[in-house]
Amino acid sequence: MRRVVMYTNPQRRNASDVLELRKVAGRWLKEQREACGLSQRQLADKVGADYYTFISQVEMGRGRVPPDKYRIWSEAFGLDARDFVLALLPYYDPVTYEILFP
Amino acid sequence: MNVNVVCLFGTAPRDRDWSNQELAEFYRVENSLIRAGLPVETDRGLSDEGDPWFVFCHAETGDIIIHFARFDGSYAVASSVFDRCMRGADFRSLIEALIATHPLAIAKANGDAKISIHPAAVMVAVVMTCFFKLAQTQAFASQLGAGEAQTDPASGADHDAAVKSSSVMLDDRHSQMLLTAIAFAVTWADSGAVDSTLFAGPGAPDVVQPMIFTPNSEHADAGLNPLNNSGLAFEHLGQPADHAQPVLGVLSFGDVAAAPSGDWGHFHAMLQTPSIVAFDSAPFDTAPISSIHESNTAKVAESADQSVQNLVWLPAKVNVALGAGGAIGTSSPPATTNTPQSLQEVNDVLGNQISTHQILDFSGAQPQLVLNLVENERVAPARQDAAHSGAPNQGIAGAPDPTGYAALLNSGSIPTTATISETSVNSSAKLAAFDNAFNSFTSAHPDFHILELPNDVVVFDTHLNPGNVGHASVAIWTFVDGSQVTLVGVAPHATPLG
Repeated sequence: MRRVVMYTNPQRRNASDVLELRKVAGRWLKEQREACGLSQRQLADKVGADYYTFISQVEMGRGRVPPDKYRIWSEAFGLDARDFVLALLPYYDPVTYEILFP
Repeated sequence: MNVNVVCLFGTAPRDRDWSNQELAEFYRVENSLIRAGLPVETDRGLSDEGDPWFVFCHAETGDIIIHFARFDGSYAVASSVFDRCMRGADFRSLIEALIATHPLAIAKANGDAKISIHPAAVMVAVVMTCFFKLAQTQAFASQLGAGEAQTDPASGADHDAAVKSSSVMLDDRHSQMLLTAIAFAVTWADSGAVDSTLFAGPGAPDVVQPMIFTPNSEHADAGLNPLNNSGLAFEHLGQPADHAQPVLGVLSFGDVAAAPSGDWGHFHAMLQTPSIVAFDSAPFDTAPISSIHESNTAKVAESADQSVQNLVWLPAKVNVALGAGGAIGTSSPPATTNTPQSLQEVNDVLGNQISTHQILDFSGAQPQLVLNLVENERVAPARQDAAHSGAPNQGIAGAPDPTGYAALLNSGSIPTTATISETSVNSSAKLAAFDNAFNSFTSAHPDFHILELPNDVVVFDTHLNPGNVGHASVAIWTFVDGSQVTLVGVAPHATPLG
């Protein structure tokens, strides 16, 4: 069965905490993009975003990279998917990260 | 030689950023939603190419509700509740495209009808709809995550699609929130604080003003009201000739009454029918309808399990078909009602703070009922207290001063807490009981507005605010023709409703 994938915040942390963590993740994503010499529009094309301003939004810490897009994002950055997820997990899913990597 | 270049003038001008008008529109929507009690916040930014975006977010979870952007010479709007990003030359066309493809809390046009919704209310309804759709989708996702049966791969996709494409079903509390948000948005727009043209677009200048009808305007006097060209019928309830306030308006599509009735399909169809967003207050000329109330009789019904449709949804059930001639008419009461809910079931859903009543065999339209109550001066006039000092007495329809909300807020007269009216559910009631309840309500809530939907009248306390909306008491009176009067109040009730 195809699951309805929603990218919510199951951690139920304080909203400001969530935003701060996502801002950190956004800055890291921006660094990766710029390191690859990609513009936001080019990255959007690579990851299949319908509107390239989504990249700016995510880099600003609003929203997040959808989990089903981890692989394609990591490929766009030339990173191993596992490393990519490990880099984002502390900010996107801190509770999960703390359990996995106490 | 080392050369240091110092920029003395800061960053480059953000020529492509949102205009002040666009930002004002966004923030007005945000403020309207917040004041209505919706946990939203906004953020905006510029892409690396300087293109602007603006997002509405869930304040508690950070989830993105809807994303607006402008790039490559067009506007874009995206949300997880849509299948794809929508593009358009202007916001107006975008919103129209959204409405055409996604049933929303606001309406979708039937046939050739042209949608004309007050621009100040359009985005409020769109954002709020996305908010609730997102919640619905998340609820479904949670159910799946909780281990519900996952058997048919197609069913999940179907359900996902169904959730995204379905109309939003709002419970009573959320309906109040939507109404309140729209009320704030329209009130602010009409106060002149914001030039409400964002949704007009270059190709549709005539739909900027259609939903607020000012009888004294040149459009009205010359018969040039854009409504006349929009496929919408319009009813002017009348007001004194020297009164320039927008009048309460009732809009509907004339062919609604011909829709199949008696099942939920009809109900869903009605949700997609353009209805009003126009409202404001003014004294009514009730002379043309003065005899209607007297000609109707209300009979107490013993059965409590009929005619309780459309109890909590928005837009309201559309039975009022307004002809070109301008007279208000109601569709005939349904010959048979395939009502899926009993009063008890409805009450179980709504909770015991909702008082529901029904009056069977009452064939009149509730607008006339309310207006007749006004005419007979059985309703207390709007209070002339400090908050309204200097404002003209506008009578029953509440304070038309568009800054009234702000005045009330600034005066500190808005109660921070309210007593919940524990009214018992009464399965049947006489018209006189409604009359008494209405008078009791208006006495207890002298500051109120009347919001008239095609087949609903919502009388709500202007003291509703995010802090007390959760304690609002609600009394819903459903008549046999499906029309309803909803009384929403927050002040302590000296007399229980009903």
